[in-house]
Amino acid sequence: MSFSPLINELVESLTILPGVGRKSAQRMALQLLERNRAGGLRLSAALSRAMDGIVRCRCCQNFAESDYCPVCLTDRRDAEQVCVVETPSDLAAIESAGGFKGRYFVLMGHLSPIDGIGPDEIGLTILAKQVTEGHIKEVILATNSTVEGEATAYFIAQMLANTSALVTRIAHGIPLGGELGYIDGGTLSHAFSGRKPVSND
Amino acid sequence: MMPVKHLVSQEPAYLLHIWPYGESGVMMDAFSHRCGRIRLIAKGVKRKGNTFAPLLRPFQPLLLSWQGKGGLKNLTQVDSVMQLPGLTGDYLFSAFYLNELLQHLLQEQEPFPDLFIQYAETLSQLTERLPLEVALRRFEWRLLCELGFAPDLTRDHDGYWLRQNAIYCWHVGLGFQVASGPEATVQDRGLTAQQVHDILHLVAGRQVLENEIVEASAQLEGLRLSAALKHAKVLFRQAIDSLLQGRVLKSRELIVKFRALDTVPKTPKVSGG
Repeated sequence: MSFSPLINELVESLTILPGVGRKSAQRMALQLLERNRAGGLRLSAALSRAMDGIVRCRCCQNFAESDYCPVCLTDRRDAEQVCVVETPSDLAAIESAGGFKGRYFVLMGHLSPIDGIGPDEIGLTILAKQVTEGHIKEVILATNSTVEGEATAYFIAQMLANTSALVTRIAHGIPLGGELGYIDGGTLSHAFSGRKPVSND
Repeated sequence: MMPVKHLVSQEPAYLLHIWPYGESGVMMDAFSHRCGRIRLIAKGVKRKGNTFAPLLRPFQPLLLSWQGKGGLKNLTQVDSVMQLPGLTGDYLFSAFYLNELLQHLLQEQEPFPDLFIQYAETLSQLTERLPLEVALRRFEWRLLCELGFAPDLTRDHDGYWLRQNAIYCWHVGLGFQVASGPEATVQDRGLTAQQVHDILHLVAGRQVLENEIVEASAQLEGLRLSAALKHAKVLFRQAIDSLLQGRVLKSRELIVKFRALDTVPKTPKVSGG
């Protein structure tokens, strides 16, 4: 393609975005150059500030702009409950659902031997240290309901079994408004094995 | 000429691994009965209301349908054969080990129907929490046999029957040789003919004995069984490692780390799952 080297470089760089191939990258680059240079400059400044300024929180491993993230810094959250999630987007989902007022621990992945990810790669030793040294009373395992998520949950449960913290796993089952006839067998059997007594309180 | 459509319908298979693919799709490696290890993609499965998503889990017997003639197939249909209860703890990590072995050692699209049957059997043994080590050693043995790298457990490398009073050591590419010097004393490496024979019994599965079908390993009891398990583990690991060509199996490390956590007996506190 007969673009100048700078444009080629821009197109090439844009292809690193997920779901962006050469064609879309070229469309993005030309759009910015033709019609929205101010926006392009804003994007490049924001990108560069974010890449330099965002680090991992020392406490929960989530993205943060200083040593600790706002969730770990505030004293308005319950420091006795820690919810373990796989990714920042899982954390965002729980936050937007509301109701949980404790702190988080973000693994940034899950145990996956085929991908070469073991307990050290997802910071489990840091978690173990926090639970044994801190005042954490409950560790809520909110990893995904995939085999890797389950494996991660089992590993953490085993790792913390000798500590005083209670280890719980979030429930799996029928979605709100779900009709049983349309639900797959796996989910249904999970829902059955996790049934609870009905209380009238 | 009519264009040939490459359709495979309702093929028994297990998923070995799943990766995210694009915005809402997944890429999968599956081990199928008649087509061996294949790579599939399924677009849009993470979207709300997709019926495939809950079925796409490793270690569950599935019927997969796909089309495409290249290396990458398009998944068109998934059906669940039956819902096996989820694996837990050691058994789950061992199942990861089976998958990692198949992922690294099987050529794509090379059929291994007998190994598939063994894999299915091994998974159901893990689900039923039958003796783990026996199941794993038998699977390793079948895998090595299928790949043509199983140690000859009856003869030495010159083709003579193993002799009763000799100590043998196994070497990659050579087979059993009479151990010389310090080699024979290395723990679990130097084996007598009887010990090699016990390994054979361990992996043989069922056999006919006095007109009755019995588990060959039933003849091994107590200490002899645990010795055979230990010797088979060391021997098969040597053979598997030579096939892996320096690649480290992460699931093996994980099992070791998981067992190291398990030093003190305790009741599991995790609820649900």
